Amino acid sequence: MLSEIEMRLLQNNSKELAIDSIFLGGGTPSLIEPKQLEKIFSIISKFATIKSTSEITLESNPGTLTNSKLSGFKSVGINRLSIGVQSFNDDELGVLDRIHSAKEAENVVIEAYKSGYKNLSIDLIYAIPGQTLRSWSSTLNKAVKLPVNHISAYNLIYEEGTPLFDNSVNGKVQPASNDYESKLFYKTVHELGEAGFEQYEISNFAKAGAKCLHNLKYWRGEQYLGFGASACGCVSGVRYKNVPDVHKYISSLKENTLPEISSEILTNKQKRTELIFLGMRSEGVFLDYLLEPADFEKILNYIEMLLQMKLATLNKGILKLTTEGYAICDEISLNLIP
Amino acid sequence: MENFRNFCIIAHIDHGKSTLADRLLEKTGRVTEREMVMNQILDDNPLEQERGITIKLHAIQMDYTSKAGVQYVLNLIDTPGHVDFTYEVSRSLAACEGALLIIDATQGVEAQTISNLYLALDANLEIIPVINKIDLPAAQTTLEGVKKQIIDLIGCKEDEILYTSAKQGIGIDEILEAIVERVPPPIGDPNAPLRALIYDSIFDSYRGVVVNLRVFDGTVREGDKVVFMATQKFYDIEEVGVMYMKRHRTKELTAGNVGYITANIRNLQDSKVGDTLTHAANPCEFMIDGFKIVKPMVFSGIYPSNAEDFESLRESLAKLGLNDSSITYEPESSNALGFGFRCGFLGLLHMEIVRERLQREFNETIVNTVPNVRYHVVMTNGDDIFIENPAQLPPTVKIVDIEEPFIMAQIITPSEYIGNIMKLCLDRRGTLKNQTYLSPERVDLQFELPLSEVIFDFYDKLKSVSRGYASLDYEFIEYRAEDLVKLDIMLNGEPVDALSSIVHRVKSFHWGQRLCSKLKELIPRQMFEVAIQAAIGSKVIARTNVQAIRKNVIAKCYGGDISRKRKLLEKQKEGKKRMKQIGNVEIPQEAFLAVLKIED
Repeated sequence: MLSEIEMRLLQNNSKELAIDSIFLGGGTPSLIEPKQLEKIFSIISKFATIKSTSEITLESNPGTLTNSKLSGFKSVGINRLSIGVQSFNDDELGVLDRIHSAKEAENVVIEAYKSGYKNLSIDLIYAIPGQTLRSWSSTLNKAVKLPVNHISAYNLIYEEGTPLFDNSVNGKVQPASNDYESKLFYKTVHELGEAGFEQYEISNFAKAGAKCLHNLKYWRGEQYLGFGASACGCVSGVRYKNVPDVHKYISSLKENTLPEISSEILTNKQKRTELIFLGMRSEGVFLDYLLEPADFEKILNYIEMLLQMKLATLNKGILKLTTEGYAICDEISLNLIP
Repeated sequence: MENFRNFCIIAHIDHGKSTLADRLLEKTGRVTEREMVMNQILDDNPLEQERGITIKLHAIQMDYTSKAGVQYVLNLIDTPGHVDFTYEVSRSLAACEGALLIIDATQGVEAQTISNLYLALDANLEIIPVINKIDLPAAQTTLEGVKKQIIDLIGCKEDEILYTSAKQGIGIDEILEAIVERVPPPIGDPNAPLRALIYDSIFDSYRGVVVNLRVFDGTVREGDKVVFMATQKFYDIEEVGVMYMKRHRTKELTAGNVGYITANIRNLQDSKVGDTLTHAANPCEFMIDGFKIVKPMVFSGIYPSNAEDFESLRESLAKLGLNDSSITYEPESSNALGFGFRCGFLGLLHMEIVRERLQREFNETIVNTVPNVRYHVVMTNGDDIFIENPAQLPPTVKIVDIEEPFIMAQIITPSEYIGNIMKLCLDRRGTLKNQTYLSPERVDLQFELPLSEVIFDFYDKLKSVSRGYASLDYEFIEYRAEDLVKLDIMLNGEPVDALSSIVHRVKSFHWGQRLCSKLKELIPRQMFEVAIQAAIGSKVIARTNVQAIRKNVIAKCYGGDISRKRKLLEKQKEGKKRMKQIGNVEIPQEAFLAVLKIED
């Protein structure tokens, strides 16, 4: 991976590149040793500048975070941890095949805080088979009492190729209905809101000043480089994806070629589609931008309806969805994209 | 003329007409075996081959030397094989003196065969009964019964029946001998004024209309000035010939022969099937009997999926009309679907064929509305009008009577299914008029039925209640006043004209309910609740709701997911563009044919 970083940074004339966010995610990056991380950062620093104010996040699983790792990661520069708690209910963790218990997760968060991490985020999942409104509510309750300033709450996705997906197909597991998911979603927004977490994207909630900078970059259509098998990046309107197979990834780099499986130059229409749907999922989109197309009248009527139905608000020229709007964000985006 | 023989083949679908025709062509040397690889030469349209039916007619001339050493010219005139095309069948039968009646040794006589047989008997044709597929193992047990059915049906002697397996090439010589021995030679006067029957016309983009005809009297030559008697169109003949596998120029056709003419005719409507062609200067006295202007029986709206494609659809329909003179189309507009055409068809099969041709040959994406019959409306002010679109029905207060077309349906079925079929026909407001046993196991049922009840999935139902054994044929009888009402569908209070239908009052309640629940399945959940209502006048008789979507968003979307997510949205957007917008409600195009899919 180090050689990929080197190749890409050189390719992108990175001397003038000032990096303000690094995110180590996907899989279980907390398995890595702090020393290895240090190597990665030093390669990056060799070819680019990492700003001192940078947000440097490490995704981690509760089972892998020992106290020594916590302090080790801190000392090499990690200043934000995103911990994959998923649930504070042991039965639900079992359904998700997680190796940690609710208690362990809770302890890890507290230990991390004690080790000096002021920016702590946890991931939670709702619409787990067997989950009730009450058990979800108690997970949320537990979460907001912990010293975290950011929470990501996703509804469970049945990804093809996972045991959960197979079980949903063969009927062993009954996925939550769309209507039930919506109840859980509204409960999430409500309870986190009460506790001072603002919804700044469909699944992301932060206390004041704690929004994840890195996420915002994706949603604002900014540029990012991704490294490693299966990683994606988007630079100067070109989006690439690396091969998912680790062996192929390594062998390709050994031959001194970028391990990309695909790369596409985004057309203006595609860029527009992305900016709109990503914006509608998060901080909103400028009304002027939405009304650029020739058939703007149709879009204007639609937006008026959104405002009337309180699915969106218009503030300082920005159309932003309300919680009810977020719940049907895809449906709404479909009417706004070209 | 003594040595001409004009004949056709009457057979049910799949009883082997095309295969037998292929064998005759092969035996008489009209095609080589090499050409036979492209099997089943008569049905040359891919749609025809797929459905195993003949839509356009063909005629092929063969030379045959009989066992006695006499040279004959045989004209095989093909006939279409579906109830929608009865008139065309009657005209091609009128061009013949004899018919081969082909019956499948394992299936026996079917309704289609009988009705065409009656047409042939009406036309005084000599019938040669042929039992085909005798090589099938099942024929061993069924052959005797089928033999008896045929004897009962046409009153022939047992030894007049021929046995063949067209597939194996068995019995073909016997058929050819029987044709020359039994089919009478044509009678006519080559020196009388020209009298020729048009039994088919095909549009060829290079030569204009190619008119297929049978000359009864006189002679037609290239350069002649001729007139189509019914349409009163005058033309100069350009080319005269007979059909081999392709057109074969002969410069003239004399009484008794079958062939074609071209005369730079640009409009198919000028040479109507059943019309008589004669010389302009020396016309014959009377037209050949039986000419009718075929009127469409079934109507439906055809709209472009995208409003911009209206002109392109108009051009495609015009081109299609060049070689299908039975389709009619008039521009119309609908609040739901925008601008489109109200098209008239001979029947449902014809409608499907047109729809498929528009899609396959002309690449049109279309929305096809629910088909309906033509209603006759008697009004309080003394006027009476025909309407071809339920949306055009005048307000109830101005209506005295609504009349709908009735048909006489002939259903032939193994007797064990009588009960099921009776129930089906009674459900469809039918009355049993006649019941004749063709054999102890086989019965011929005649029902009077409203045509409107037959155009919705009746044929499929008939097949399913009889395990595929019953066969159907029908003909129009008359218009009758019935207690009919207009059923409107409203979405969030907005009437959707393209979903209006005219139904019998007794059935309206159930119909409304079923239609509402079918629409509920087809209309996707939207941002707000959609109320579906069925109403007669201002009275709502059924209602249901499509609930608003509560949640439609994929929770996660980070760097790597953006392309995937965008592609998903792009795909959904394409689907959305194909929906039709009524007020704020989006309706998928399938919904407009929902009525056809309603289960009883």
